Amino acid sequence: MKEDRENELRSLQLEFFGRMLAGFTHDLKNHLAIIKESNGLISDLIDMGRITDEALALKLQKIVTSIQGRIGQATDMANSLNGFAHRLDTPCSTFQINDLLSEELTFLRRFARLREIELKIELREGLPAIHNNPSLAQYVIFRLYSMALQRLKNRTLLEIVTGEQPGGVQIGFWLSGEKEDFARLLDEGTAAMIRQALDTTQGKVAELPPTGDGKAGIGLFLPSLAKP
Amino acid sequence: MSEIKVLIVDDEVEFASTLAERLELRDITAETVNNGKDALSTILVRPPDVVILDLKMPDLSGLEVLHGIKAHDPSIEVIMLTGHGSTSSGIEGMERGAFDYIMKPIDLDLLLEKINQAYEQRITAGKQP
Repeated sequence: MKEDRENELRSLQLEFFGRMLAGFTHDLKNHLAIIKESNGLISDLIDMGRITDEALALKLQKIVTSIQGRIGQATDMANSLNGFAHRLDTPCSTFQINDLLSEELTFLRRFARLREIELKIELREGLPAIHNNPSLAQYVIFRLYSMALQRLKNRTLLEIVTGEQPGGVQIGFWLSGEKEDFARLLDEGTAAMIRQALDTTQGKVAELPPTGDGKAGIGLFLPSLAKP
Repeated sequence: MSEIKVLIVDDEVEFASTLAERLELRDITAETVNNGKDALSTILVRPPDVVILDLKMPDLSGLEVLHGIKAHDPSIEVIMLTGHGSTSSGIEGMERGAFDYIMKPIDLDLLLEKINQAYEQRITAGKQP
């Protein structure tokens, strides 16, 4: 009974957090929209020859291009953050695993970069949409990703591959190095942290059969749950 | 010289005016208003061909303004502007009669393409008996 109430309270907190974050990213995109149009207007004036000093026009064009690139990156981040926040709107929804993963990787890439671990992402096309809890799925992905980075040496390779499985989808995490290098891939700490999320999503985590090219893999299977 | 007349409706004054200036540089006549009520009164006196309409505004929402525009003149085409990460709000606008939607920050080339398509549709609809 007490646990139910705590879970309910936790859900309400997450929903609140999601709404705040969604509102924040909405405003952020409005600011970016204004910066983008102002920057675009300067670019228009240069392109249309309204700035007659050629050297100045060249210098301004360089600045405009640089700002444009940063606006693009910031917009991608804001979009991902917004999508991330909206994942908390409802406990279950129908989603594409590739979209979910791409959105999350916008934030997770930097952890690999800091360790100089090369990240190779293979998002298989034509995967079926699944009905499940997207927020919990992202949580499990985050835990497995963190575990994989922890296990890998610096300047190695982590491959993340999505694929279809009967009744759902799978995300494979392939670590460069032989299986013996890692002993058991899923450590007890990570297993404990994802247990409840796996119960709710009815997901499964299992080591993947070796491919013979010197990699060890762990897979997350997420089923498509029945819609209420 | 293009004949396209666009009305930009957005409570972000700076965004609306800068976008209008960029459209004017491309020979599109652009007028701006910063709330829904002004949008509905403007279409009575200076009807535009295409309205670029922000979905989230403080007084009347974009969907309410869309309803008002379509009730007055269904041939005025409306392109919704949405800041949401998901496309659901834009799709909802289209279900209620909007020509199309575009995400903020906007891709100007894409917006120009949609404005031209919307204008063509208005012209074609006007020629039908």
